[in-house]
Formats: sequence, structure tokens, C-alpha cells
Amino acid sequence: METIKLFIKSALIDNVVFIQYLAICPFIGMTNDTEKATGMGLATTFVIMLATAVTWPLYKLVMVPLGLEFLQTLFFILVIASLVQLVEFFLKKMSPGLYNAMGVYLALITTNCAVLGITINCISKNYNYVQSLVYAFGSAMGFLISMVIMSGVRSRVKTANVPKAFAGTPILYICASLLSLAFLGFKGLIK
Amino acid sequence: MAEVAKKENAWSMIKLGLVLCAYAVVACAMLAVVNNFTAPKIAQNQERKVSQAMAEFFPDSGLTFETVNDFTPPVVGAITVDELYVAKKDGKIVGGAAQVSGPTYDQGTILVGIKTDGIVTGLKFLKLTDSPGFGLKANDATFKLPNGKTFYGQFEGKNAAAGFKAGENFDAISGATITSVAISSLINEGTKNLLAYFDMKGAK
Amino acid sequence: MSEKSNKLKIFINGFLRENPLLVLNIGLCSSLGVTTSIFNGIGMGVGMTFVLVMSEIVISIFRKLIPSAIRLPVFITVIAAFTTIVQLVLNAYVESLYNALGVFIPLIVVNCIIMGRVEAFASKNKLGDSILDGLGMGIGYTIVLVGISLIRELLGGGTLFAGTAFKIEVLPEAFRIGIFNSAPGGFLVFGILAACLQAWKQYQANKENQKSIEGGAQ
Repeated sequence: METIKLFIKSALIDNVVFIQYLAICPFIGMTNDTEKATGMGLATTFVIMLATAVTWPLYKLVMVPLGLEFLQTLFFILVIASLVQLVEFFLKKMSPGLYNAMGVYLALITTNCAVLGITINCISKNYNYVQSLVYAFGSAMGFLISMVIMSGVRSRVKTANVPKAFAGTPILYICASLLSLAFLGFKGLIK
Repeated sequence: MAEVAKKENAWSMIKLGLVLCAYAVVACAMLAVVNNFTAPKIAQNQERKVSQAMAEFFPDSGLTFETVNDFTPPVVGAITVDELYVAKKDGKIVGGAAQVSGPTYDQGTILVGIKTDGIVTGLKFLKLTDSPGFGLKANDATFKLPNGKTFYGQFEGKNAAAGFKAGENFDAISGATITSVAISSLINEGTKNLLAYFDMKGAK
Repeated sequence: MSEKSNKLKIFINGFLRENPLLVLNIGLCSSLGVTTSIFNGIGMGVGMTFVLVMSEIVISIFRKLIPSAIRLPVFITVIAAFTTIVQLVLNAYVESLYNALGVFIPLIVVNCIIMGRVEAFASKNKLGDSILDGLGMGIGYTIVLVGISLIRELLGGGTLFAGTAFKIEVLPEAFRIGIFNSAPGGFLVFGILAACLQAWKQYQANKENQKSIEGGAQ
């Protein structure tokens, strides 16, 4: 029960994009079609899970006993960069089609604020290993949901009559603000 | 020929790895130096805040303050009791304070002080990152509730034994219900553990 | 003469023409998350500019000594080192800012602006130019941050400079619009600012077109 609550909390109530303001760059940059958005969402989910699974024990079992907490930012981001490289490597070998479709955006997962943000949050919120993984999975699902929703909204906006000043990216932020307002409604969902 | 190429490849990769390591080591060394300067200051800041708060909670002179080391409060959900402190007069416990961290609208860390009979002597915020103008009013000295008190001031003199419930024994901030309820959960968690510790030490 | 104007161009590039937030659309996460008060906005701007300029300096100095195959990890290491310095110094000396900015301080390391400028500029240009570019981009970023926080803090919290000694209460309680303090407000203000900049640019482009049409007609 607590696990489900944590999952819903991280996916909807504390949604990475709409409430925590993380991962805005891919949210704006990669949602022009649903397939790309879903692919990016799934790839990012994979990296987030892997990163949390590795950084949590790294912090709790290695860095804290050695008093190296101040190196958290450095170590975490290097772990994430290496994991992304590994994912790229495996993707190239296992599924060259997907690899080519994603192109340079796969490497950009490294600079995705959500990945580093989630790994740091697991530590600062004092979750244990299982809680961290649930939180990471929930947040990643929240990211996937927001990507898919935004890509749908964008395809509608393409055929809408947008004022000239807002054409292109500004209207996307207005849409994001409305979506964010909707997600704020989840705030009281779990006591 | 291919053998040589493979060997060269492996060697060049190792070289690259070493170069990267060199950069990383220099970075770590630089950070260790900075950390040396800042870590004691950070610890000092924390201590200063706690001792200031303790002095406010228990203004009598002749008291000694100690950190509790023989009791570990259990973690409940996302709320952690970071630290328990006791105030002793002539070796006898007269009250204590709990530092509790947990989710509010964002995150909050409080310090709540109670006497051994459960009466609250004070509430302080060590950290509150809620929205300014809403949840952040809980920590605002210039904000007054309809009953004339500040949010954190209204808990003084009230008995914590029954636990605090919004609307029943304390007033929430209008427009910041989630923050108010969350803070009461933090307070309850802290006082619950303090009272349990007083029981354990036979101080009540 | 052209050397100086070239340097000036590099410096003010980051203000309007290639403003990282409003034009290039990078480094957005921190701009929305920390702009609930001017103090936070300035703090984040200064912190980010520090990391950007220092990273550009170091990478520009060492640009010939960084093997191309591992340049991204090396960039990350340098940027992360300076980010950690900002983290530690803020935690020790300006704790209120540290708590207010929260997770966004370590997130400076994945701020696309820094990565982008280091890759696009510092790794290929001299030290002096890199410093100017870093300062320009950083100032452009800070200006936008302060602009957004000004609007959000004024309309949402009703104060100016909350969190500092200069706090001024401007709007009475009844006139504060809460939404600006929370997530949707951030997106909204950002979208409107981006639209304003775009409108201004379109206006400039129209003026240029008019001029060339008139010039051609003559």
C-alpha cells in the first residue's frame, strides 16, 4: 500500500515536469511527434532506473562511510554519463534501428535534469533502496506521461490559430502552464 | 596486423581512461580542499542554530543541553527525527527538543521543544522551502493568525501529548492547509519520540 | 577597431540575439524552479555565471590537452567540480539561499547552457574570448531570471526582495495572485516573456524588410 502511494506520489503529485520543473529541455525539444516522445521517455526511464540502482548504494555504502558526501554531484553525474554511454553501446549492438532513430538525443539524456535530480532526491528524502527504486520508477513514468501528453497537445496546436508572437515555442509554455495547473489538482490526492 | 591494431586500440583506450582519471583526481583534490574550509563552518552553523533555539525554548539559567545518543527514533514514512536533545538541570531531565525533517508542501525541518509534562515551549524552523506568501508564512514573524499569534508561536503552552490536529487544537494558515497539516505531523512525530524517551528515562 | 567590436559582439551575444533561455531554449529547468523570489533568481544567476565562466576558463586553457574522444566526460568533471564548489560555499556562508535553491544547485552541472557553451565555444576559442562569452551568456541568463522572478514575486507573493534585508511589501494580501508562486505561473510568465521577445524580433525583422523594400523600390 505504501509502495503504491509512493508510486502515485512520484508520478502524479510531484510530477517531475509539471511540478518539479525538471527535464524541461526534452519536454520542449522532443515532443513534436508521439513516437519520438515515447521513445525518449522509455529510454530515459531505463537510464533513471539504472542510475538510481547504482548511485544509491554508491552513496550509502561507499561515500558516506568514507566521508565523501561532498563529491556527490561529481560522482553521480559521472555515473550517469557512463551509464548513458553503456546504453548507447548496447543499443547500437542490439537495436541499430532504434539507435539511429534517436540519434544525438540519446547522449542528451546525460544532461536531462530529471535523471540527476531523481538520484539526488532519493538521497535527500532519506529513502531506503526499495523506496528509491519505486520513487525513481514513478518519477520516470510521470516523465513519460508528460512527454506523451505534450506531444498530443502539440499536434493539436499545429492546426490551431496561434497569435504570431506566440508561434513556435512560446505557445508551448502556455500549454505547459495549463497542464501544470491540471496536475496541481492532484496535490491533495494522498494525505 | 589486426593483432597489432587491436593492441593499439586497447592501449589508446587505456591512455584515454588514464587522462580522464587524471582530470577527475585533480577535481576531487580541489574539492577536498574547499570542503576542508566549508565543512566545519557548516557544522558550526548547525550547532549555533540548535543551541540558540534551545536557549529560547528553555530560558532558565543553570541548564545543560545534551544530544541524545541512546535512543533511535524510528523513521515513519518520509518523516525522520534527525536528532533529539535534552535539557538537564542538576543532572535531571527537565525537557527536550526534537529536530524533525519531512515533507511539507516542499520540505521542512523543525525544532520543537517540550517540557517533561508535554507542554510545548517553542517551535522553530531550521528550514522551510514552501511557497513565499503561502506556506512560507509559517516561518514569518510578521504574519499573524486571526488569534493574534504567529503560526509557530501558537504552539507554546499547549500540551503535545494528544497530538496536534488542524482546526482542533491549532489554527492552520488559510490558503496553506497542506503546509499547516504537514508541520503538525512533524511536530507530533518529534513530541511522540521525546515523550517516549522521557518515559524510558523515568523523567516524567 | 574591429578587434574590439568583435569582442563586444561576443559579450552582448548572450543578452538578446542568442539569449540562452528565450532564444536558444536551453537551461530552462533552473529558470522555472528558482524564480519565486528575486533573491533566489539573482543567487542562481550568479552561481550559474560563476560555474560557466570558471568552466570556460579552465577548458579554454586546457583545450589542446583534452583528447577529443573523452572530451564530454572531462567537461562534465570540470563543470561538476565548480558546481560542487558553489554548493559547499553557499551551504557554509549563505545558507538561506542554499535552502531556497535546493536541488537546483547541483543541477547547475546539467544546465545545458554550460555544457553547450563549453562545447561550442570554450573548447575552440582563446581564453579572453571564452571569458567574455561566459560573462555575456551568464548575464543574459541572470537578466531573464531576475525579470521572471520580479513578475512572479510581485504578483504572487506581493513583496520585493523577500529573503533579504531589503524586503518591501508592495501588494496587499487580497491582490496577490497565488498561481504565480507555483508551477503553472512559472510556465505562464516564461511563455509570455518568450512571446514578447519573439514579437520584438518579428517587429525588427519587419522593419528591415520594409527598409529593403523601400530601398529596392527607389
